[in-house]
Amino acid sequence: MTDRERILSAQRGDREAMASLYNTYRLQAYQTALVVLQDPHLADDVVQEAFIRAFREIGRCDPDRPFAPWIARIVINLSRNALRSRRFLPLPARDRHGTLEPRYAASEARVDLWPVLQRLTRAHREVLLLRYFHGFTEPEIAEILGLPVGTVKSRLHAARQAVRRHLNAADEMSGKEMTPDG
Amino acid sequence: MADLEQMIREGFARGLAGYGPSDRWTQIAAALDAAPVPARRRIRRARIGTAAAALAAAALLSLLYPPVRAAAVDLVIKGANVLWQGRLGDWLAVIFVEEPPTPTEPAGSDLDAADYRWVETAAEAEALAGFAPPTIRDATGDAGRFSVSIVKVTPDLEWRTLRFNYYENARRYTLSAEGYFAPDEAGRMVRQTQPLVGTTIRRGEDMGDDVQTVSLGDAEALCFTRDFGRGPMRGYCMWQVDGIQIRLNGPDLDSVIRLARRVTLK
Repeated sequence: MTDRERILSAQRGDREAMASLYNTYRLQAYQTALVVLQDPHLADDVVQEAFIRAFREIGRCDPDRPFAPWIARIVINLSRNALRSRRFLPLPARDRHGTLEPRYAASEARVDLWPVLQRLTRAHREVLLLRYFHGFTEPEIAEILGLPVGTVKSRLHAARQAVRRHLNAADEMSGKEMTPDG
Repeated sequence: MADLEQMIREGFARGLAGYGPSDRWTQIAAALDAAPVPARRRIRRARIGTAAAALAAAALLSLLYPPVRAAAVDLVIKGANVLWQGRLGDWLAVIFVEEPPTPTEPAGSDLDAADYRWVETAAEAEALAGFAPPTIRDATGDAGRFSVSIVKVTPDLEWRTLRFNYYENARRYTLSAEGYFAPDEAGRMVRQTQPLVGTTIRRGEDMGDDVQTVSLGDAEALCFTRDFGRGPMRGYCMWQVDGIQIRLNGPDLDSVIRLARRVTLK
């Protein structure tokens, strides 16, 4: 069943079609929320809310366009709101077990960029995730982030530059030589 | 380049490995059963979202009318999505977060339709706006042209903004002053005081963790970093003097705060 068929069925109230969309896109939605929020528990909550909102407004989803950017946009915005609320109106202490930091393992020979990606600004992390991990096009990212395409291009460029700067700084610290551009 | 992109992909893959979403379908289905949203409501939400970018300016203008001012402030604060609130001297200050958008929401707002004029001198800007633009004490840089925008929010209410760029040490700062005007008993448009200093953080905009109140001597400012949805982070301060809201942004927060301390109003 294609996205188009599932969206059309969901618009007629078909819960199986909604469940199918949820099962297809919840991992991508969760990864997006996780990269923005850096909190697996909060990411779960945001994804749940995002799909509730998406299905409540499924009548406004264009079946001729892919579902992935549509849900990604809702996830990004809900994540940002959650993050902002958490920044300034501190939430009760959460169980931090399972947060992202302990997952980093630097033992393999291949350069692991995850620690570098975590040190980027949220805006840079978001745009790199959407482009290179989820594979969205620049126009799709513009739609997801609510930005002009030109801004997406410049933000992607700045994000890559930031990665390079972090890599160069790490090289200077460690004395190793690395050329990420090959 | 290709290798860097591949490394970024692998970086995310490695960092996200082992993490997966809980299955929340039961909760989602239950929420959909509990509160189906009628079509009328969906349309209304879209309209609210469309106007949200102008929330800080437009929704609060009703506060200008003294009899309802105090109560209205409370209502707006309770009803809005508030990111930060506090006091700047005698004024209440608020940062609003834009309403969560709907994916097919159109861009723009009613307030985009402003009457815009460009003028060369401060005197011309003052004649158009009805108040003088801010000046910079001990200025060593150059100011650009002035833009003056007048938005008729309602037949009885105007929102007037003066804006100009100021270049110092090869760095660009943008300074704006906003005044709100309503007719007096004789029908003359007179400047109102605003009980609240507000700004809206828009969709797609990045913002720093560095919100702070800063003493400027005669006033207090709310300062933080933001990118206005355009990529590079800029320093930003806003404050109020004699009912005029002043906003200043520049390449970094420290220099913006230093410059804000040199801004004066005639």
